Amino acid sequence: MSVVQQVLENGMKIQINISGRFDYESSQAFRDAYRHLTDLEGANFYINLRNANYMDSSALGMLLLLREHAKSNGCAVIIEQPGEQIDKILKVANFDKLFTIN
Amino acid sequence: MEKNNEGDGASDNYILVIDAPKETIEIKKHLVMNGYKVLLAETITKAEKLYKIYSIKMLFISLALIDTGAVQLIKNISQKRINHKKNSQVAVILLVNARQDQALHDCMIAGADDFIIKPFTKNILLARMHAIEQLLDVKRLEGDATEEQKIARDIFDAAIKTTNIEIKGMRKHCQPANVFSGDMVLTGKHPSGDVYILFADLTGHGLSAAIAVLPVSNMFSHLIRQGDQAEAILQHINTQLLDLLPTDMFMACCMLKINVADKTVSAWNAGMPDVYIIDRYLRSITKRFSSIAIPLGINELAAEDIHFDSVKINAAKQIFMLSDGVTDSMNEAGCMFGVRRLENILQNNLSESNLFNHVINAFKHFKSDSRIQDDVTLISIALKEMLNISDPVTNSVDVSG
Repeated sequence: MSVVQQVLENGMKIQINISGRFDYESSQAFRDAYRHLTDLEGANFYINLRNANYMDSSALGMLLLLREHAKSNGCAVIIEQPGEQIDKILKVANFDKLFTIN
Repeated sequence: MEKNNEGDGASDNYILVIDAPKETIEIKKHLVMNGYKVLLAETITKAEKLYKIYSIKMLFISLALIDTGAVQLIKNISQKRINHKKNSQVAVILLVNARQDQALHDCMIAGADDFIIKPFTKNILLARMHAIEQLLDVKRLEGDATEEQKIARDIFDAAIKTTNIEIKGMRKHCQPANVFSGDMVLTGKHPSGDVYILFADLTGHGLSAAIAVLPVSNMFSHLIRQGDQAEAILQHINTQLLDLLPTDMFMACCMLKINVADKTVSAWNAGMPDVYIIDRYLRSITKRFSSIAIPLGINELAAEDIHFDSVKINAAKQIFMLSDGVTDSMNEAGCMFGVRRLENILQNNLSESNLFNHVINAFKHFKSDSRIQDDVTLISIALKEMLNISDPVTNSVDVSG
């Protein structure tokens, strides 16, 4: 599991790349990737799951926490490139109703 | 009379040393001098007898006795298969020669806690005893905590049982990952005559997941008795969960309504795996209720967000549902049980009258000895019994005859 954060496009794009298992073990690293960021006006979060191969319900919970943080700062959360298996989990939870999924 | 020094190790509990008589003289001397009460046994058989009579907290077993049932004794003690007097926490320490590495390995696997290599000095023995006593304290605390959790779980189970109704033809298989389960099955009879079933899975497992079980089950049974419609019940539960649960926790659920008079099943699935309607005579899955909504406890839920899908039922139909703990389960090789495997098992056994057992056995076989990571629940409802109508196959025989 690894969580890597990059701030791109003059701070307008905050990208978080997750690889390996996206589960309970990633919760601290995932929160640390965005909690300290302030002055987020106009910025959006991009969660890239291309290299993630597993996701459980606690990972869904982490996305909900990020959504709350983003909302309070007026930002959107975009989930990118989920693999087949992760896409199924997002679909069963109908998270496409809460997030933009590309 | 032997004087009992009230030293560091003094207690009502005995240390049992199992070894050849000449080997035990030294160790007994050291232990007694430091306030321990010591019992000696030269054979495993004698040790077992003493174990049943005295309150023993620590056993030293010499691996010279490996061939005489030492491994079995260690297994029996560590798996609590021998009734033990008073104290439930016991430590097993092996006395080993440097060359007995295979026997040492076997005994540690069997459940021994530690080992000391012979010859050892008095100070090494006492240092080890000190470490082992700390281990016993931790074991005791852990045992107490598990006991408390079990009591709390019994209260939970009793609370749900008193409000649930019995459903004819329903079978359940539950394997919690912990003492507590975040999976729950609530049943109730609506004043209209409909049978309501709420099958839910709270995120995570263990106590934190189970904390919402009681309020949800109370609300469900109360609102049904009051005659509230399924939509209103779901909305109320959702509001309560929004108040109760932290942001990152939620409850996936599927609400089922069975109308016996109209012979229909209606379902609304919010985040659970597909619910299957199986026709045992057509040998096919005739309907799936897939998840069409986000789980409860995340967003506000309006009545118009809840759409029940309905299907006609008859005596050949069977409802089959499961929590994601089944499909997401991994075996020792790191393979996932998966939806495809589950559906293959269903497809290949559709005509079986004990389809449910086939699925459970296949799951158990898949898991083998590997640990359950998430709460596992499987439910089957054979509608024949509930509808109390005659079997369609019997009917067709009657017609042709």
